[in-house]
Amino acid sequence: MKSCILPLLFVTLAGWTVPALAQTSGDVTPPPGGSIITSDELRADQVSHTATFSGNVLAVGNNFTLRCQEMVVNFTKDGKVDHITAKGDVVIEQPGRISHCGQAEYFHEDDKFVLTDQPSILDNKNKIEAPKITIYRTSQQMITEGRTKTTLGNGVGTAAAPAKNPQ
Amino acid sequence: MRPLVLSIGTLVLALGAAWAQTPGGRLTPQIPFGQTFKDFHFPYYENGQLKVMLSAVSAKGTTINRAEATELKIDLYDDGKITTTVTSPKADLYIAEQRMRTKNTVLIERADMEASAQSCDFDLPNKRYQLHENVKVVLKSFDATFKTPTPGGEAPAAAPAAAPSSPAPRPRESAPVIPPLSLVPSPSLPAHNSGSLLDTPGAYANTNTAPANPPANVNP
Repeated sequence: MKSCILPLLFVTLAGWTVPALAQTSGDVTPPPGGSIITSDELRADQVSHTATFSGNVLAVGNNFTLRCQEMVVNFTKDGKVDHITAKGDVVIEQPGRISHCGQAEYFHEDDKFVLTDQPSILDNKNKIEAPKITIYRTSQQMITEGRTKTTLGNGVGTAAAPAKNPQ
Repeated sequence: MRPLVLSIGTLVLALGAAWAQTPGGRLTPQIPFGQTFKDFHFPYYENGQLKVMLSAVSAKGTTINRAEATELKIDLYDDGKITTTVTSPKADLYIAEQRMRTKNTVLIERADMEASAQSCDFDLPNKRYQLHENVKVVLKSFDATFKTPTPGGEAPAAAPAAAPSSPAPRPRESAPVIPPLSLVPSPSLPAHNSGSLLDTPGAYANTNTAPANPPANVNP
């Protein structure tokens, strides 16, 4: 009897578990040139062209994921992404690199990301911390404002850039 | 005489109840209670222009103000063109308020995005909606990836010698530029990597500017 019950139990559990896992993971492969955002809730206003994602927000691009608690996306009138604000435990992950901050903003006009609220970028063993880090996506420039701390990995040591007033 | 007064009173009460269930007491179309309409279509015009087209395989009036629709499709129009399409296998329609509510999955499609969720509350006149549970939005025209510039492309190739000619947006702030972390000797990482800033591990090269305060004692 036991030999019958155990396989049956296994099949039943598998039947419950597999769809649950499939639902949780979902298809988060972004289309070419696109991105996927998942969350617990979305409030959208097509008149003011805003979309507010809240609760376990996950934005997935190719080779890129962003997690946060709330994300507000402002669109242009023709439906293009104009400005994004991600707030609350923002984590940006890429292969070999992870960034943490309290708030991350994307500005389409300058194609830049601005990380604030204790941002830090850990690139392999190298770490950069500053009150504000601006990353220009296409030109590959990174600018920090305020006192910047750069920790070089591989046991090299720490180099702290002196603070300069940005203005 | 008494039955006449009572019947008039009843009629007044019924009309009052019906009026109270419409916003501002406007005369709005309703689906008769208890009746089912097959191949249901309900256009809504504003200033002579088609704004919303409700379509369903069937719509059944469940209350004086609510209809239960199956295989619902809502087209939102702007300047005579469909801008948004909302579909749901089963949803409640609040005709007077022009709201749609469902807990049976919804798909909202636009040219630039596609949104799906388990439940939805859609305010059609104001074009506002809330999605709950398993919300998934596909932004078709926004690639969140930190792009890797390609030679001849929009972004410059990361050639150190040609760095000053980079068409990079000039920073408005006079903040110090972070020294390239590729100062750390690493056989696997060239000093100037052609990858984008956050695309390739360790590629903080091509910042085009000398380090503001290069660490002099970088000795592994």
